[in-house]
Amino acid sequence: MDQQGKEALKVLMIRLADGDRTAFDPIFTALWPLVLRFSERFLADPRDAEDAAQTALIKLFSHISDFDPERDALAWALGIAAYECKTLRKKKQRRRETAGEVPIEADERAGPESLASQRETEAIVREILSTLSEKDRELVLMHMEDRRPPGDDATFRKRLSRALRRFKLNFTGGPNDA
Amino acid sequence: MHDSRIAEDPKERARLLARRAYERGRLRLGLLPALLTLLFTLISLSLGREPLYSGAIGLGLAAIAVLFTYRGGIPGRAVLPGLLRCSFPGLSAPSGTTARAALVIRCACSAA
Repeated sequence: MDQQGKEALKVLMIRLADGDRTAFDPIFTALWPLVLRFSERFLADPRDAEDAAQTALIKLFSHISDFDPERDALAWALGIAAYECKTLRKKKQRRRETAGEVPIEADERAGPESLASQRETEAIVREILSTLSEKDRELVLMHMEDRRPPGDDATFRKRLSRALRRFKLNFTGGPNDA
Repeated sequence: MHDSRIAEDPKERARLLARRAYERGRLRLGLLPALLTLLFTLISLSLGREPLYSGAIGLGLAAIAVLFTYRGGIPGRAVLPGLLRCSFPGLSAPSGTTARAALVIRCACSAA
């Protein structure tokens, strides 16, 4: 968006903040593609990007009466979008981490000593998994659950081998090249 | 636009939700002057000899304050100055059309 467009957007935002409803549609039409494109760059999944863009615009219009005319309107809008993208990404990451707690199951038939040892190992593995990058963690979990992604098997094996090497290094307390 | 089409098209859905959020935001904006008006009404109820009139005018004024702020424009901008000038008569008046609108609010406020 050029300088003239930014100024026009600011004027429209000031009008909408003052209660002029006719400014709503032009603002929305101008902002939606920009905020969506911005979110798509931030988030890999296009559906997440759409969600983030939608939430950002809802927040923007809900608090438009707080808009400071001294500020740049586009920067304000993109700031809200960036915040929404970060929030969504964190939420997804947390969900994935919670889902990743499954792979190791203690054998209930084992004795109490063995069970305690298994639990301890489980805690250590979980801790090490949390130090790995998101991609490595996913690969190690796939390996533990004996899953394979569709497509190039050789690439997967190469990536898995690198991820397992990093996992082992962290396990033995060696240098982390993740 | 038809509802099912709105639900399908993410842009239209976002437009609809954003519009609703905007209207909710305007309504929320009107709550502050309304609370201020209700506070004045409570004071006038405790001091006045005609609680029925005070209450009725106060509630009417609160409704007007919410409506004006929600609609926005000159009347919307005049609500807070009008209420503040009613509470603190020494305050300087805003200029032009807003001043006239503020005066209307102030008169209604004084009546309450």
